[in-house]
Amino acid sequence: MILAVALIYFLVLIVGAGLVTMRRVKTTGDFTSAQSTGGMSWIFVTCTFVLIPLGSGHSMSLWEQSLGPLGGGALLWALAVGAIFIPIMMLFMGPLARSTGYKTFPEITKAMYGRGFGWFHAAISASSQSGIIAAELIGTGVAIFTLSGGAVPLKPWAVLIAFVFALLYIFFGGFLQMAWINIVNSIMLIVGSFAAVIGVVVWLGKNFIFNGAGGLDGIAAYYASEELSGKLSQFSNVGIVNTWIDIIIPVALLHLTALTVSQGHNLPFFAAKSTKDVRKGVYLASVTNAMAAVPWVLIGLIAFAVPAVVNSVAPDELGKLIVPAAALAMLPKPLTGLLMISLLSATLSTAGAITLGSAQQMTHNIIKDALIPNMSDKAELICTRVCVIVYGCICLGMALTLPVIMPVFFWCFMLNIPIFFCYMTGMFFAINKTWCYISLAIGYVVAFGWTFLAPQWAPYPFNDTTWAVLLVSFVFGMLVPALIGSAGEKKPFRQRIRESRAGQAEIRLPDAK
Amino acid sequence: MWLGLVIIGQFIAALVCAFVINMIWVLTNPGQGLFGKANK
Repeated sequence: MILAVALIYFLVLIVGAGLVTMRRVKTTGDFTSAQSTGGMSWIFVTCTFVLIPLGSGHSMSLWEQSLGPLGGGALLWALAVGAIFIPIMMLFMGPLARSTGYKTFPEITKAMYGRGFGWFHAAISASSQSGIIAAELIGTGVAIFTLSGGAVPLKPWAVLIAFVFALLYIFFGGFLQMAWINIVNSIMLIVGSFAAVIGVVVWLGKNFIFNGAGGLDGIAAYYASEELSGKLSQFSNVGIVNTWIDIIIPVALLHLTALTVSQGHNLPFFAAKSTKDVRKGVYLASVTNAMAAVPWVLIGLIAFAVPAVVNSVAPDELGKLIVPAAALAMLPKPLTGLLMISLLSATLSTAGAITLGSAQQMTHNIIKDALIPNMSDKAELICTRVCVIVYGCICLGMALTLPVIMPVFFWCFMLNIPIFFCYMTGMFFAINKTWCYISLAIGYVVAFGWTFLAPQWAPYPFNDTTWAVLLVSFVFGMLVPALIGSAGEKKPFRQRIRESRAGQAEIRLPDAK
Repeated sequence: MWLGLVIIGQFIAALVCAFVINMIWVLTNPGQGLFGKANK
């Protein structure tokens, strides 16, 4: 019943927004960046961008981690993403990408390093992000499975429902549809999840006593009795160097490097009315993103001390299912529905945006650029919609068959690191095609080598794949080409943009706002 | 008590980080406002 209400909410919202916005989609530009609106204003840009990097990694994996030794320290992930990654994207990276005047990322790297690199970028980007969508589909599926009380089996039905909703999120009106849905869902995300925390606290006050202490004091008493009081603060691990090397810095760097060159994450910036509209919502976006993770971790920490919740799921499933199980045991039905809507807002928006970005790259940067250069705009629009379905089906296949999801998710992120360094080097320092390809080759050899051979000889932290790929990509993709300089007469891209604006460029770039 | 500290702590930490990064932006883009109002 709760599940049905939550799903009906999404169906009405998604189909409603789809039908309203579909009329305004006449061209491919309308579908992928809402060109018919003349550009998105700052509130749309902010709400859409906040929800894109905020998915299952920001909710489910955090409550799972909070049950481990990290405790509330899991919220440092949300700070690394919300308060470091988000402002850097909105203030620096988004405006930088916009300044080129192009509408897709592989177009920018193609203009730097040639057609081959553009195709490679589009292919790596679309394929690596399928891992993220698979994780979102599984995450949404787990929520549907648990809140149905097990009546809807996880595979295939719960995951299939998630798949259908993720595709509907963008299928009719494309970016414009997603922007409208995300405005509503940004509010629902915060309201629903914090309302659930209040519901849990009210339940504790009535039903929970530990060593004579009731409510939240009882929870604190439980953690004190287990000598785990530090888990009830997100900052108790901040002084430990390993917290920075293992969590904060890699999470921030991984997001920054992989997602700077991700089409899905840059869609709101390409669709913005002006660069001012990209920057304006930076505080709202940072705080919303960083706070959105708090309720999940709090409910996870509270529920871990409540026997009624812990005993309701199998011990090996506890980490994954604790929040949905807590909702069923502790919350009144309307609040469980709100929590469910909040969780689905987080996961579906991420899956929808990345599917749209990947379908756009498959159509525009691979099929049109490499195979059918004369494709009409109408055909491109149809092809993009077909790619949404095809790409979604590939991700669905992964979600239904992969035995582990989170490691795949991080691994997929990592594949974009070498491309990031080529992009930044070409933008600011030098366009050196030879070293660009050398750095890609070394980067991917290290990525695969470290993953499958797990070298023990590498010094900490470079025995970790992410750190190793970051190091070699930085050295060979940025440091060496910056020292050697450009091959031939090619100037760094940023300089060409400036000259293009001043009318002195040898290659004219499209007009940039 | 601990619950309030977690919520307020996260809120303040997020604001401070965003402010610091915004200050870096303002310092590298002189003459433009901290809240994006004067930006053109």
